[in-house]
Amino acid sequence: MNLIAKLILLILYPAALVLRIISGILGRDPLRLKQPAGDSYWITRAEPEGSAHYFSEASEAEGHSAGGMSGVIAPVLRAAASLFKPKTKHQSRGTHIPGADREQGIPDEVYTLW
Amino acid sequence: MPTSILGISAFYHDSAATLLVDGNIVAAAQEERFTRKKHDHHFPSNAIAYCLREAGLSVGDIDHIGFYDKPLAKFDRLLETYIAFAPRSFQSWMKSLPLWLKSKLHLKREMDAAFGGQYRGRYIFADHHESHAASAFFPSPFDEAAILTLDGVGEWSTTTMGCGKGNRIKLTHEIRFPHSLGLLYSAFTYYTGFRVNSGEYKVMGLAPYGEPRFADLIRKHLIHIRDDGSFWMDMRYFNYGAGMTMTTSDFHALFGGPPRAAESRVEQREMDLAASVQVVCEDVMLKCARHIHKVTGSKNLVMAGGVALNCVGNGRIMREGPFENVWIQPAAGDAGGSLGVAQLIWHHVLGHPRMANPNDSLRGSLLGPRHTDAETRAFLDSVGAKYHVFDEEDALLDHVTSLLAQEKVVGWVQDRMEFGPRALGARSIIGDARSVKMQQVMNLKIKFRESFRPFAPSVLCEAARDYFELPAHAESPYMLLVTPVTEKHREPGATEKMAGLEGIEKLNITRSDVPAVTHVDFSARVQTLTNERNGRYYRLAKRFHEKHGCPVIVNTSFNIRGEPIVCTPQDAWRCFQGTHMDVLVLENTVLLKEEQPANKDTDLESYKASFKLD
Repeated sequence: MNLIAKLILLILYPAALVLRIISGILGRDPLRLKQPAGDSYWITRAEPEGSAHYFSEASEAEGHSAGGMSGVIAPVLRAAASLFKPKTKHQSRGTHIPGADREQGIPDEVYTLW
Repeated sequence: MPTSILGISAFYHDSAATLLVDGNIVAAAQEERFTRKKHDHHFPSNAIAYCLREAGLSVGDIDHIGFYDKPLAKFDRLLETYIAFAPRSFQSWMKSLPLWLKSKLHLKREMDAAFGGQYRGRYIFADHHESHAASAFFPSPFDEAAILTLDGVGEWSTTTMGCGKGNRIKLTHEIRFPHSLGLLYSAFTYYTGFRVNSGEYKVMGLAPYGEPRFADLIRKHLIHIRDDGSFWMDMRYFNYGAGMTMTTSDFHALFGGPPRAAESRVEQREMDLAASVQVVCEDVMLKCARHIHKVTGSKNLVMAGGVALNCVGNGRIMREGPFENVWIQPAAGDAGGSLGVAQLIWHHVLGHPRMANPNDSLRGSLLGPRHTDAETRAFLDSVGAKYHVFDEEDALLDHVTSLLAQEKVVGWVQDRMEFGPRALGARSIIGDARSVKMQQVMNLKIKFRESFRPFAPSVLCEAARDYFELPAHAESPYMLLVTPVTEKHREPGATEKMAGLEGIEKLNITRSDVPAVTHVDFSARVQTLTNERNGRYYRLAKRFHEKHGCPVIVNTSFNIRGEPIVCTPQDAWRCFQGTHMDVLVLENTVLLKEEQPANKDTDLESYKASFKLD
């Protein structure tokens, strides 16, 4: 299963490369890698209305970064993820421990960011 | 029917669970305490089971379950980062995304499976920093307050500010990944040869041995700080965006060499680097605090996020900042997110009002398991331990304070376990703060950790200002403030004696009449004790004061290097037997090392080897 996931990711990575080039051409910088001008680096945060947003895994306050291009590739990856759905609740009977074990040799600090 | 809410933080570090019943915090615990794996990132099955046991509930009884961050927003940040750093991001892409495809993009299904399908409600998700902010404001003693959260990163935010009032919090501004004060500090933790996510405390402890001679270099090249505390970081020097390390070769060239190898000798250079990043961190924290004060006009500040565990920075905000009152969530790291999301559900989703408790609503952060005397004795009998039972508290306190005065090192297990990274007198190793040898003995023979690391004092609240420079109205119940020892308790001439010495040599100079808890810059990470919050631990300190004239005792966490703080009597016994600790107190039961079956050196070594060095 891991091999299939890696194969899918290998095939999709060039898309990230292409998006980087397009992003560069369009002058987009969602990570603010270039130093922004102005007296402050604070960003105004969106304020979600009501409480419906709490039922979503996506964030209204911290949604897509301005100028970002991840929206192009994210749906493809999410579709690919459907191939790897974990067991259903009925199959697991409460013995399932979520969160795949981490690959050896990768520092904790890197995992923390993933 | 009461409403029960379970909050969960998991999958990154310090997984934890919190249970609220009708808005009251019934239980909270970190998974590491049960699995004995420090910073355990797995789904907190054991912590959840404990929380439910404490309330007499089962999964089917839970009304709402909340998760402390928003996975899809984090996924978005990850993809955006990979695009921005392509093609350098290829390795990270291939390593990280299989986890997402197989697990993290199926979070609801994963949790359903973990709960065996018994939870029938909808899952609720809060932004990572909103969870931090909620954990800072809702349990605080304030009706309204400014809120500051600082950590490595959640979804996109690394720093947020806003305000809380009544039962609402609102975050108005943020700084986004990859610009992160927490990750800047972690980069230096990595570069100075310590483990990220646990070594930050060592960097903070190392800083007073050094001179901040690199601070200007950091400000000039790594982080640009505005007057309002906002900052931007030059990512040419950092590799955490898309690499497998924290720093780049440009960073190493700037500071004149590669990172220190782990466990190699700590040189003056590392001390100076630690001092430098600490100064910069404090600078940002203070500027942020001043800016938020200006924007909100509040006299109260609450803080959370991993950077809020920087007690030196907190102490400066308390002493030099514009706020009259500062309250910091003791479980400021990711574990506290489980509390935050649970309280968000109670107040924001369900709309319940909030009444601030003037003493805060965390009950001294003693929210974990407690073991009865009967359970303890049954266990001790099963391992053939010899022990003395003290049914009267007076007699127990007299006995233990006498042992402390004889410079014995005492393992002290009482009450419910602490929630958060600090031992606050429920799972602590304690000693006589007046002893000149105590720091060395505790570091090398008990904790098996680096000799430069300082120990913290617990002090009777009523005597705190005599020993430590705390503002008149301030308390430090959760050991989250570093403050100087007052002049009257400092050793005359100590500054002059240390002037010609470098680094760890300074430790050889007696610095105050409580030398075991006075760092080389005369600072101390203070815990103030009250009877209401600390119960028997307060009464122990009070008895020690009455009998021996000192209201201060050394308090360090009950564990060895790399080990999670002990939870059960079994954990405490193993640690007691695996170290050179002299005495173990388990509730009303006292064990003396000299009366126990003799340990071989190999037992000590195998105990040490059972925990990965942090």
